[in-house]
Parts: sequence; structure tokens; C-alpha cells
Amino acid sequence: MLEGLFGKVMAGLLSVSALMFSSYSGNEPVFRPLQCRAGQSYLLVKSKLDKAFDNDFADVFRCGKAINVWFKVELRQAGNIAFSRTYRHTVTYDPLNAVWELYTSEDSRREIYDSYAKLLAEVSELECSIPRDRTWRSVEIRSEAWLPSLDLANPDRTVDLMMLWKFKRPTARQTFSLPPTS
Amino acid sequence: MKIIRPGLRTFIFALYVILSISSLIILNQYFMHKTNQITSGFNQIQFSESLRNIRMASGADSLAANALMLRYGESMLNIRMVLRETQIYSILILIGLIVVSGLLFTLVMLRISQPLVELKEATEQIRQGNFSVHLPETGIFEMKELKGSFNRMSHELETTQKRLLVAEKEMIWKDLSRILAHEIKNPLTPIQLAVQRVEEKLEIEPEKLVEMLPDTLKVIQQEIDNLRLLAQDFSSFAKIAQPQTETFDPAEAVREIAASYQDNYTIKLNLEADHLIRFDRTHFYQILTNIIQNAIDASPPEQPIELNLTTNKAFVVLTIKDYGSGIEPDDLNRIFEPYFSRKHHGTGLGLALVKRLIEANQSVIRVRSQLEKGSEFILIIEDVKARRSFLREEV
Repeated sequence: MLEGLFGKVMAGLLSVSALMFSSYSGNEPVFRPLQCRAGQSYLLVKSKLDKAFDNDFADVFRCGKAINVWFKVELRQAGNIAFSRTYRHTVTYDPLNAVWELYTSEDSRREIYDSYAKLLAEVSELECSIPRDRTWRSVEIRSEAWLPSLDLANPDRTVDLMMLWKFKRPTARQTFSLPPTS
Repeated sequence: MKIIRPGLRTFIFALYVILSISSLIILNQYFMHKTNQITSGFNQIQFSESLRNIRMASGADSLAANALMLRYGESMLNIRMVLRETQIYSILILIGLIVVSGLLFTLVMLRISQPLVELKEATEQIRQGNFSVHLPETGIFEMKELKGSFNRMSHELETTQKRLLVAEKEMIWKDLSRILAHEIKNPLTPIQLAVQRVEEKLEIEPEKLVEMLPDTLKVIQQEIDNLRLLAQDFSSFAKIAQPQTETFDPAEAVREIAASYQDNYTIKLNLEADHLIRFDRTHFYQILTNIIQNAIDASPPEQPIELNLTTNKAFVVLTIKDYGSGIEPDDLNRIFEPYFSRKHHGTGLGLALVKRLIEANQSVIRVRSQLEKGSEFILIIEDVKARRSFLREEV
């Protein structure tokens, strides 16, 4: 809760500062509205992060270190958490071949991209399936994304990549009415 | 609606905010310019791309080049993050500085301006006549000095006021003693002469004493009456009772009072009826008899005294006009002062008493006079009836 409050205060301050001094633009990540497709035994949840990697991330994704983008998906039924899982998208750069490897933990898939634009499109996309309970009629799905801290050399130090998102975690929340299962 | 005008503090504070934010903007622009120059310089290095284009002789070379490029990429990211951190944290620090310095500035301003507010309030108290006001000599040095000067000034004013009060009291007592001595001596002389005459008759012609005794006793009785009257005048001036107001028709009351004079003097009445005043009836009687008696004293026997009662807006205006000797212009401002009199007899308390009674009944008295043409005393009293109808109209 305190972390969320800190994020909001920082984001507010930075937005006001940027408005006043136009010195730092950063990124303003937002989730697209959550989509939910209901199958007989699963729910397919989809969303995408917009405006998350526009500024400064070219250097981040080219640094050669494994960069994780974390996603958390939570499903609430009648106010109780019925499902909660954290996924990661890991980007690793190969400087010799100028290609990126992207690992998505939702489907344990590894892909190689030679186009930075394509990489960004894939990193931003969240698609996961949730095992469905037959009794569920109305569910609330919440998603959240954040960046980790990164240990860097020359000089040795740790940087919080959330700074590039102005310390604000993008979140989305939507309620879905599910059709009855046959 | 009360308009709040921005004071000196607001102007100085606004100036401070404008200056500090402008300085920050200028500083930030300079900082941004330099940051962009650094970033642009790094972007032009194109190290990895250049290294990739070199044909590597062996796998070991490729691995070494890869490691080099990774280290370069990490360093580039590190530099980028340092720049971004510098930007973000410097903004936050600067905003923090603005807030902290703003707070400090406000505190200092309050420390400077609060004593000024205290001084203003103290000056207001002085204006209202409270010279005993004393300010605590706190705050910054100049304010302490200022408050010290103010305290010395108020102390001197208080001392002067006390001295003046003592002097005034002494003067009043002297005047009063002089008047009392004079007024008591006046009837005492005829009494003493009468007693001496009786003594002489008793010695020389005791048989004729009975003949002259009634006249002598009459003189003594008259002078004793005068003394009693004098005592009454002083007594009524000293204790004016809280008015016991009642609502009555002033025209009726004036007619009753005038009736007691009309046998011996010409009193002309021109009284508008149908008005009501709220006044102490006894005070009203005292005021009117005093003024009428003065008018009679100042007028030749054949001249009339005119009493007019009219209205002006929500007020009853009662005038008592005589065609007598009038009042000297220099004396006009003093006629309501206690013990001031130009008459050969009297204590000089009559009109002073009139004024005090008028004020006690929330009314006003004015006087107009021309030498050898006469005087006019004007009483202005609230008309209860007119006020009631005015309030009804308002509703």
C-alpha cells in the first residue's frame, strides 16, 4: 500500500515538474482494456502495455543484461482472490548479431527478434490463460506491471528501472460476466 | 462583500515565488542543453555497430568483441540512467528546496510582519484612548527597537494623560469651589445684613422691631430658598439617574409644561400632533423648563417665546425660540460646559444638565443664535411612530 502511495506521489511530482520545467518526459505506461474470452475450462486474458517503452528503453534493451518486465494477473470472485500469478517477459540482447531474445513465461516461449519495433510489440503484450471454475458467473480481473532493479557495472551500482516509468506501476481492472458452461 | 486587498507580504511572497521558479526554469534549460549535448555525443560513437562490421579472425576474437560490446552497452545504459537520475532527483531536490525555502521565507516574513500587525493594533488602541498598551519587545533587532520606541511613546502619552487629568480635576475643583463660595456668599450677605438690622433695632428702637420683622424674615427666607435651589442644582447635576423611558406624545407634554408659564409670559405654541417619542418624562420636563426659563431670562418681557414641534424623516424636532439678547459667538461653544454662565444669578449648571439629560436619552441638542436677535434651541428626538412605519415598509 505504501509502495503504491509512494508511486502515486512520485508520479504526481514528476508530472508537475515535467509540466513546469519540461526536463524529463519518461514513459507513461498504461494497460489497454483487459479482454477476456471464456472457454469451457479456461479464461483467456489479453491486454497490452501502451507508451511503456518509448523513451530510454533502446539503451536498456541493448545493454546485454537480461531485462525482466513483470506482469501480475489476479482474478477475484465475490471479493476473494481466486487466482493470482506473476509472469515475466525477459529480453536479452546479442550485440554480436544485433538480435534480441524474448522469453515469455506465460507460454514458456523463446523468440528471436531482429526488429526492435517487433520486440517492443511482443514485450508489451500479455496473454495468459486461467483455469476456469464452473461456478464463476462474474469475475473481476486485475493486472499490474513493473520493472526490476538492475545491477550495473562501470561503476558498480543498482538502478531502479521503475524510474523510467516515473515509479508508477500501470494497472488495469475489469469485471466480466461469464456465460454458463454447458 | 468585503474586498481583501493583497498586502505587502503577498506581493513579496509572489515576487519570491516568481523569481525562484524563473531561476529554476533557466537553470533547468541550461542543464537540459548540456545533457542533450552529452547524449548526442554518445549516440554518435556507434561503437557496437562499428565493431560488428570488423571481420573477426577467430571465434576467440568474436567472443572478446562480444564481451566488449556487452560492457559498452552496460556502460551506456549506466550513463543514461545517471543522466536520468540526475534529472529526476535534481528536479525533486529543487522542488523540495522551493518548498523549504518558501516555508522559511514565510516564517521570516511572519516574524517581520507579525510585530507590524501588533503595532497596528496597539496604535488602534492608542487612538481609542488606551495609553496603557505595552508591546513585548521581542522579534528581530529592528522590531525590538521599534517596539521599544512605541512603548516609550505610549508610556509618555499615558503619563501626560494622567498629568492632564490631575490638572483638569484640580481646575474643576478650583472652579467649583470658586462658584460655590460665590453662590453661597451671595445669599449670606443679605442674611447677615438683615440680622445686623434686627440687632440694631433691638438696641436702638426695640419697640419698632415688630414692625420691621416680617420684611426682614421675608428676606432671610428668600435667601434660604436661593441656597436650597443652589444645592438642588448641584445635586441634580451630580446624579443623573438612568432614564426611565416611556412612550408619550411630545406635543401633549410640551403643552402641559408651557401652561405653567402662559399666565405670566407669552408662549406661542405650534405643535404637530400624532407623534410619539420614547423618553424619560421627568428628564423631558427638566430639559424643557431649563431652556424655557433661559429663554424667558434672555428676552424682554413683551417678546414671545415660540415652541415649535415638527418632524424630519424619523425624528421629532422641537425648537424653543426666543427674541432676546442672543449669545456671543465665542460663548456658543461653551454654553453646555458646566459652571459656564453669563447670567448674574445661577450656577452655570442648567444647560450642562440639559445636555447630559439629552444624551442620556439618546437624543441631540443644537443651538443657533444671533446677537440682539435671539436664540433657538433645537431638540432632535427619534420619532417612534415614524420608525415603526419605516420598519414596516422595510419588511
